[in-house]
Amino acid sequence: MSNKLNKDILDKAVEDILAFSAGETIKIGTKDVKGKKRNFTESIELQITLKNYDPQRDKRFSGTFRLPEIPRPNLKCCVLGNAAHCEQADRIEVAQMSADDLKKLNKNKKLVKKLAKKYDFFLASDNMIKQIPRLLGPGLTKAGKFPTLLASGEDMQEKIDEVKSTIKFQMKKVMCLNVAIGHVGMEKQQIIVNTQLAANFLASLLKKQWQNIGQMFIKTTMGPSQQIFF
Amino acid sequence: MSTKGETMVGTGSSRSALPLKLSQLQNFCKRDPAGYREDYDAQSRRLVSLVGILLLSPNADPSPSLVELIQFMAAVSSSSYKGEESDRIAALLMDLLVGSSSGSGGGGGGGGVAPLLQPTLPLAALQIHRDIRKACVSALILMRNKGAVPPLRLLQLFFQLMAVVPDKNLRECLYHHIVNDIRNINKNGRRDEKLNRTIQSFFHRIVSASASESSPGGEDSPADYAAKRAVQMTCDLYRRNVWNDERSVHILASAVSSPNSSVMSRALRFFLNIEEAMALDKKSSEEVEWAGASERIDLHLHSKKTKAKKRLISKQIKNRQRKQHEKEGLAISQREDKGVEASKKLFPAIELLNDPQGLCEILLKRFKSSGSNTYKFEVKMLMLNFVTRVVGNHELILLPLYALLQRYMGGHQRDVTAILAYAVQSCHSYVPPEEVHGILKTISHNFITERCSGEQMAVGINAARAICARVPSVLSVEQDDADGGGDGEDGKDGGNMREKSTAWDVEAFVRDLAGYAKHRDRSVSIAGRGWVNFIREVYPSLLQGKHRGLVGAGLHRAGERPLRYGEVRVASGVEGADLLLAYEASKKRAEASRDGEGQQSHDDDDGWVEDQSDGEGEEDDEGEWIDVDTVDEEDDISIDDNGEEKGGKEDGWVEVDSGDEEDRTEISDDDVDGEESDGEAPDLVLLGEDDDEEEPMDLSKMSDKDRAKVKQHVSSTRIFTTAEFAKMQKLVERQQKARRDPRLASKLKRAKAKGEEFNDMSDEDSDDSDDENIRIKGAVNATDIMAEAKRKRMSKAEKLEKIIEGRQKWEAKTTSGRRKMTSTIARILTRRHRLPVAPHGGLAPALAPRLSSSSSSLHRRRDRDDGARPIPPANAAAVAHVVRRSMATGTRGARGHGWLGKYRAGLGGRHLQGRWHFRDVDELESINDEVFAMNASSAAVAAAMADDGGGGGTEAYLDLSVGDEPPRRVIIELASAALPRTTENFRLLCREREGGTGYSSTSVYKIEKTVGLCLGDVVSNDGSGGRCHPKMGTYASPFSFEDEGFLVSHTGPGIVSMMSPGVHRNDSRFLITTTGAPQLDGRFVAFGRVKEGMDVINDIATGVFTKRGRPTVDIKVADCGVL
Repeated sequence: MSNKLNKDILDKAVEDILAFSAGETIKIGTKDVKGKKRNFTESIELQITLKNYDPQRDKRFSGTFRLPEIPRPNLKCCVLGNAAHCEQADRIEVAQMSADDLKKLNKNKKLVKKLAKKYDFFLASDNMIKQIPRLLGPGLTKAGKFPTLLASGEDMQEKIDEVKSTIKFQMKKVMCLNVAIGHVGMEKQQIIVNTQLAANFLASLLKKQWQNIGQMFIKTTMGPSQQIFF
Repeated sequence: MSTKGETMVGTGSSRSALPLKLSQLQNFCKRDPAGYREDYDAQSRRLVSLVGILLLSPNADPSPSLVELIQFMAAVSSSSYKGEESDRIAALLMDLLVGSSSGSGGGGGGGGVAPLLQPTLPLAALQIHRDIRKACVSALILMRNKGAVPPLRLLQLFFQLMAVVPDKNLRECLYHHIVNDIRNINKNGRRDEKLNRTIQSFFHRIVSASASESSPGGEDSPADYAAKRAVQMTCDLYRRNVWNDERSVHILASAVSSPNSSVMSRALRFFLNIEEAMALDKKSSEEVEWAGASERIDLHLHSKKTKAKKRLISKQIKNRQRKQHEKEGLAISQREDKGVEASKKLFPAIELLNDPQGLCEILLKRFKSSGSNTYKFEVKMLMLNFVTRVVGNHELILLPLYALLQRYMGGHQRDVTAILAYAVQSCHSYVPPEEVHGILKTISHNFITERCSGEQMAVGINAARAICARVPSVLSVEQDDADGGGDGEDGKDGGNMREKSTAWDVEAFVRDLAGYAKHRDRSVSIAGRGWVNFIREVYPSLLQGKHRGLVGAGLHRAGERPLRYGEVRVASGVEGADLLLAYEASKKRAEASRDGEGQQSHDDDDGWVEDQSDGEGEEDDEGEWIDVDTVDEEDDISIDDNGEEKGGKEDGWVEVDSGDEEDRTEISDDDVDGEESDGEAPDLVLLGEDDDEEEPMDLSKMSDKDRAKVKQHVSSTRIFTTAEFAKMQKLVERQQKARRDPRLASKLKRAKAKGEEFNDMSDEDSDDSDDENIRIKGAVNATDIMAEAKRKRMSKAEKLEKIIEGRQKWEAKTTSGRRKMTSTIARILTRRHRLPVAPHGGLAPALAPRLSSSSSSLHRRRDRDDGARPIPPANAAAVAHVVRRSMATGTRGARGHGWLGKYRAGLGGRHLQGRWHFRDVDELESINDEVFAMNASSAAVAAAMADDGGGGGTEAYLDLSVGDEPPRRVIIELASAALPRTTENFRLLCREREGGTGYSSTSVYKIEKTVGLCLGDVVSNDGSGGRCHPKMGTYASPFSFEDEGFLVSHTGPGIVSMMSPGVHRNDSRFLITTTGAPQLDGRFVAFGRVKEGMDVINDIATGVFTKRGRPTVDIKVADCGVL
């Protein structure tokens, strides 16, 4: 058992999954498996199981961090903004909703749910964000899409990029974690960099670092999984 | 055997004989099921007919034979004729209980879908006699235990029975049977998931049936009772780790939504307490196990030793060892689970809830709509506790909850601390600030006012603190609006907001609470201080400057403020990765400079070369380099914390620029050599080819963004080892500390200037202790916010610990080379200031230049210079009355000047400076020598002495006898030339024989181990008094004389010195040092030293027992005189 993530294995695994998703034949164990190219961009995920971790006693961890490369570039964003922000959002062609738009939803659960489903994340300007729970009820939090603060001084595009490249480790109900760290359109090196950062960061959150991690797999949406940590 | 059985059947069954024979028949049936089939059939026919008779009058007293027959049939059918027969019997018995009308078709009910509870209430069971009922039930249990009946079918029946039967014993029996049955199903790791699932869904149906039908506050219907038992069973099974999955949590969650108060409260208690209860169970079971193992083993020490006994003993011992091993093994195995198995570890039940939001809404609605009598107060509190905990745990948004909580926060509310704890519990980062403001406002109105009692105020303050700790964003509102108001476009909106926020002035609130830190009530002031400390950590800028304290000031300067609402702190990489890089770079640099500095200096560029050209050697040019760095440091005022505040110097600019360059080149590098560093030793990719190792990685000069970039880069290009993680953690901790503590920050800065920023970081790792307490996210205990009325009395262990800690601190201090005044004498005398007086008649001019020249190098004895300036004797008395503060050695004043410069030079703080610490003992000793040498040179003095009293005059002797031992002689050399008056006093007292005014036959009254022997009390012989020789006294002070001058220093053992209780109050008492005593310099006039017989002094000092300094034996001056 290695005491940390092995670079060679990771390199090999990334190569394999990229090859598989490109439709090439790869070797799994002793068998040759023919890959298949899908009609969409598969995303690449990191799946982790934990060990030696007692959810009753150990402190619950949750960490938000930013990857060097955006793992999922086509996330959809919606700006819930004041007049200035809405205007700005229009300029850079991002969906936007003003306070009046939100009031129109009228706390209707279905509509709020629809809204939450439609977009992947939300940004809200600072005076709006406090009213969001009042205007929309618990719908957004339930979907885990509570807006992120967009301060008045910040550049919107930059913020959107930041949120897009931000991922979060959070454990709920099972001792497994799953994060998207890239897609098959990325270069190998970018994927490796993202994976390493994610792995390092997770290890830093845990009490015994690598010893708390049971296994790590990396896989594409529809491809076979490759174990990179044992 | 078989023939006998045959005859019995053949003779026909007479009823009176039956009771005897049933048990026999049972035995035979067991042995030969096929052979006795007929007899069995006969019995079963009998049973059917008997039951038929019974049903005619269910209430009648049953015949005992029927009870026996039922038992017989159950036992035999389930063991010997399992299958159709046993099914038939079971169906018969169940029909008997349920009532024959409902379902005699026993085959239909064989498993599968259970009918709901209602339609088949076992009314018959109420009618039949309880003995029969009991017999039926126990027979069925027996059959179930033998596996003759499927579990589910019985379960239904039993639940129905439990709900209606008015027989408590029976109900208990049924309850235990069901629980044990389910436990047995899941015993020893074999779990029948399918069966479990069907049973659980049955339970769920029971529970939800009660939830849907009953109304709040109504009477318990049978359905409610069944639900109650089902909930209890589920809790029980969960607690025993039989059913600890999401499904059972789901059963309980639906029980929570039941309007029936007892069902609900049971489930609520489960969610709130189960983790602690389970932990307790585990602990106690371990203890019990261990208690069993620690039974005493009889070693038979006093009885006859036989082989059997020996064997017994060894067996017992072995057994015990095995048990011990098992226990230890268990402890280990519980800690070390492997891989995926660990995923079976339990999550807190509350986290497994499926639809927390819906559940909370239902519960809250019920809470609000319930009248005052619907639920008991305790149940209501349970509901609130549960709702708030779920809200806090799952971070739900449930706005009506906060208004409700505020309603309950009255001063006279029952259990108000619990309510406050719930309020704290319900706050989390997604709660909109206005709601939290409302709660804080209510708390401050109802609790934190002067009309409330101290305890109430303390509780209020603590609660406010706890809330703010959970939602720090409430404190940041002011800032928010200031920002929001910046852009004028949303004028109305912003204005609106600001209006709202003026209603709640956070700063005023914070300062108001901070004011309570000085409250006269102790508990309030404790709470207030807690508040102040908290704010110091979180947002010190809100406090007034005087309240900020060291930590707060540091953090204020660092611009610490809480996150705003909705703001997320996004890490760019592993915390401390940048620091690790800098650390490693500095390590590498240090190594490089150690080996082969010459080589490297060749390929250096800019400034360096020049430095080297005028530097002498290798050491020097390193020094030069350090200097350059310090200059940089000073330009750049802010250290690590405030990146934006870069000094604006061009070198700073260059730094940043090069940082960018690094990044760019790195990214291009990645493609080329991303893989090269997979070995164990991590290489510093960042310190690649383009920048030399000499170039310091200076994080302080980077902006936040650049640092983040570096962090991200480092943590994405390499994979850290565990050791590196530990190091990073340490580095981060240190940086945090430096942020909080300006002193540490400046120390770090200094160290950095010297290029040894990381020298104090050792490479070994330390293990941090981990606590084993259960923690459930979001749970708050009411005692946490209770007032701390009294300081807790420390236990003995705690006291001891504190003492040891203090002692260690003290030892660390003393070992680091600081001297401490330990003797009581010195302690008394430190408070006094002394006036140096010129020696009577002036010092020999020969000494003067020597002294004045040495004083500058010695930093000591300004009085020497004074001493060199002769004061006319006429003025001496006048001078004696002037109390002037001298800068004599050892006083605080003496340490005053220039301490800051020395501090900066790395000599430590003020307390480490001062003349004691810079004393040059050799120099002082040479001065002592010179002083004594004057005796020989100034013949005039000696002659005068000889005239005066006879005898030589420069040496005296004391014969000291310890107890009854013969006296031993100590010869003392006197500085008669330099200190004529003091020595004359001594000589006179030595010579005095009559009247008891001399030293002879006085005693050593005290032995200070760290100073020396004290003696010479000619008045009371115990140190309390003393008087000078009458010849030395003046009219003004008949019993004492002035300090003649501090010429001789207490450099080492054997110095003889006058002990005086004040300035110019020398009498007869004197001391002989056994060690160097710098604390006495400038206080006691030393006038002699031991010439011979130091061993005598040492023997006394070390060999005599003392009691609080007083010798326990009498040490007499047997004789004394002048040589």
